[in-house]
Amino acid sequence: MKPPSPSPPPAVPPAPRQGTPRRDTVTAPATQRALRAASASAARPGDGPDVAAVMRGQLRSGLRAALGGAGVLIVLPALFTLVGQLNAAHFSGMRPGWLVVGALLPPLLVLVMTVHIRFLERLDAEAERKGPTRR
Amino acid sequence: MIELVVGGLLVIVVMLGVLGVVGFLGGRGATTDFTLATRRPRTLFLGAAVTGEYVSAMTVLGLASLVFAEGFGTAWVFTASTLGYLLVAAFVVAPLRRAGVYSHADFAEWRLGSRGIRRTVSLCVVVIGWILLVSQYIAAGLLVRVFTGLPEWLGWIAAAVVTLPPALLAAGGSSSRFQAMSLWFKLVAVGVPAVVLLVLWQSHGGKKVDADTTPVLHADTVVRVDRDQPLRVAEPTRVAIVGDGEGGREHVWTVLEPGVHQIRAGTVMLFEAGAAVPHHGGLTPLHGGDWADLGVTCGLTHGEEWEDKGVVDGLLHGYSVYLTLALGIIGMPQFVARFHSTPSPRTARRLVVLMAALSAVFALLALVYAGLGRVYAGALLITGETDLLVLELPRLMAPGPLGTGLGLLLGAGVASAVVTVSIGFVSAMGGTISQCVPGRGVWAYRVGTVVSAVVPLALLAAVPGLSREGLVEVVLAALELGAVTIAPLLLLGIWWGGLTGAGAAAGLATGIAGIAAARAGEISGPLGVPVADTLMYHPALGLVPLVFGVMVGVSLLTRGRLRGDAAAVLARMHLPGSVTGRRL
Repeated sequence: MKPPSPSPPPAVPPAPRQGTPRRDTVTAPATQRALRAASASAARPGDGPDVAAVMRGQLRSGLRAALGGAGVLIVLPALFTLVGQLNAAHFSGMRPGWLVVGALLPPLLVLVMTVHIRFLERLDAEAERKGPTRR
Repeated sequence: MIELVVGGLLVIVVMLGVLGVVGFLGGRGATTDFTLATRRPRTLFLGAAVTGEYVSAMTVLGLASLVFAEGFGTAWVFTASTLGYLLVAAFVVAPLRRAGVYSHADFAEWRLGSRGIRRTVSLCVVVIGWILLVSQYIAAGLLVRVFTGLPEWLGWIAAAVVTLPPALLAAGGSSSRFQAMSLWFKLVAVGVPAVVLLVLWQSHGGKKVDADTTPVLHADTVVRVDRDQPLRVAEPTRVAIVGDGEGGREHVWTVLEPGVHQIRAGTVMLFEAGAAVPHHGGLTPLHGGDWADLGVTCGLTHGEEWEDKGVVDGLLHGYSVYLTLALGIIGMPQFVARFHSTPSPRTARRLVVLMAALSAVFALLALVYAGLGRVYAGALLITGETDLLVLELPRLMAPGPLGTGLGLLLGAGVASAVVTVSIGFVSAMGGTISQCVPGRGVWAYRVGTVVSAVVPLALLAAVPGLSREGLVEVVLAALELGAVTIAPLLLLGIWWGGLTGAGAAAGLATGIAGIAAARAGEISGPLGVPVADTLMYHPALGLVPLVFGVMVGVSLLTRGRLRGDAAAVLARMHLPGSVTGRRL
């Protein structure tokens, strides 16, 4: 159960530390704890660093998957074009290359996608649980 | 021929009937989509609906034709398009779904706060849609010609006429049930004949593709040449020129020597069974073993003539096509709105994975048709009309009722692909156009829809050679424009907070101008400077990095004009709904 978040969240500024004499609001410890917890989990949505951290996680994993796919697509056609033996390899009338191109690579990429979006879903769940101040 | 005409009419009537019924039922689907979003996700159903809008005539006819004509080495494109779906799933779909935008143009305005950029993006989307629609209309023309023998333009008009009412009523295009049904139908209509033909092939002895060095004609073949074309002959070939002489039909036998011959339009030739198939001059002459090679095809067609360009150009050509496909899929106009019928960004991502998997199935089917075509349908290489492969193959493999039946099933599948995909395109474009009109009323949508559907007809009528372009080339032209305009805008807009309106505008202008220049260059002919020519014929290779560079560079220069709430905009796209306090 999440504590109810104060709305709108940015309207809960951190209490001024020094300068003007402070007026303390006296509240029950339970309320104070709840307020602290709420501001920790929902404060400042849209503030730079929090979003950046979440984005970095998503981007890093996404780039890894995409660059992996792109790498395969750059290297393998070149290999098959330039290396004759690879191209001409036969096993009882079947070319292993056909299997690679027709039946292996697209499903493999789909598998990579599946793993990747699972990871993204985990990241989302984590962000949801910890709130945007996670590092 | 007669049974084909009757069958063709039957297909059209049945298709219209099915579409009418489904469109009517789906008509109530305009609201169904919204209620759907509140129900528990039925991922397979939604995935089918999304994929339904992607399985076009190009998927069914074009891909098989590509592999058939240019060899197995082109099959890498399937990996490239899967990579495109990966990019969509990883980088695009969830943020767009969270942003709550309904089209690429919506995103541009929402992200950059500029009406001008919205208009530029709208222009790109509409042009892309027009070119894609041209490819669908061309396929409709082929259908009409093959099944009824009537002229192709009737098919173009029929496609527009069938597409418009559902799109106008916002019935078909927005109904998930309609699109999902159409996908399953397409899968059956293309898959079942493939399996039957494979069984037939085995019962014929299962001859391997590379058993013949060049494809061989299995029966006496009559070929009618519709327009002037070069014909490449590899070995001395006996041919009878069929003409109308005094005593009725006359056969004048000659021998074509090896080399390239110019054949006049209207010529009717009779080749004997067992002859090696002569190739249309613009096609890569591939021997059986070469066809089966996985190396990237090292030849390029320039106009009517094929010339060997060597390994490096072949590879560059390949890479350019892969890049175009992978990024072009991001720029396809129809998907953004479609994902709004998904309950959450999470489901939207999963749907893209499903979509990639389903597309891989269609890719496998295309490979089956291409391979069988190499064994049985070599005759299509004479006129170079390889897009007819899937439609003609059953008739060539099993003359008689079975072949006719399978052919009709395939024809129905293609017709359904043409209509459903066109509806998707037309309604997406209608929406995009209407949002640029101040009133944004339903009338703007209707006018936009009509404009979207009619302009491709005008294009086909005005540009004479256009209807003879291969489906794949036409679709690649559209994807190319998307890859250098919309894709960079989306990727940078979603993932980089520093993108400014000026940067995006400069990048879009660069992309559009670059594509226009490349097209103009292609028409005026090669420049003679190797690097410039490579970039001209494969614009994506140079333009994609250039556009990204311009967008980033100009954005950095205009950093001062970065909108103040850029961080909040990014947060809305990337944080799960409950964190930003919004229900999704």
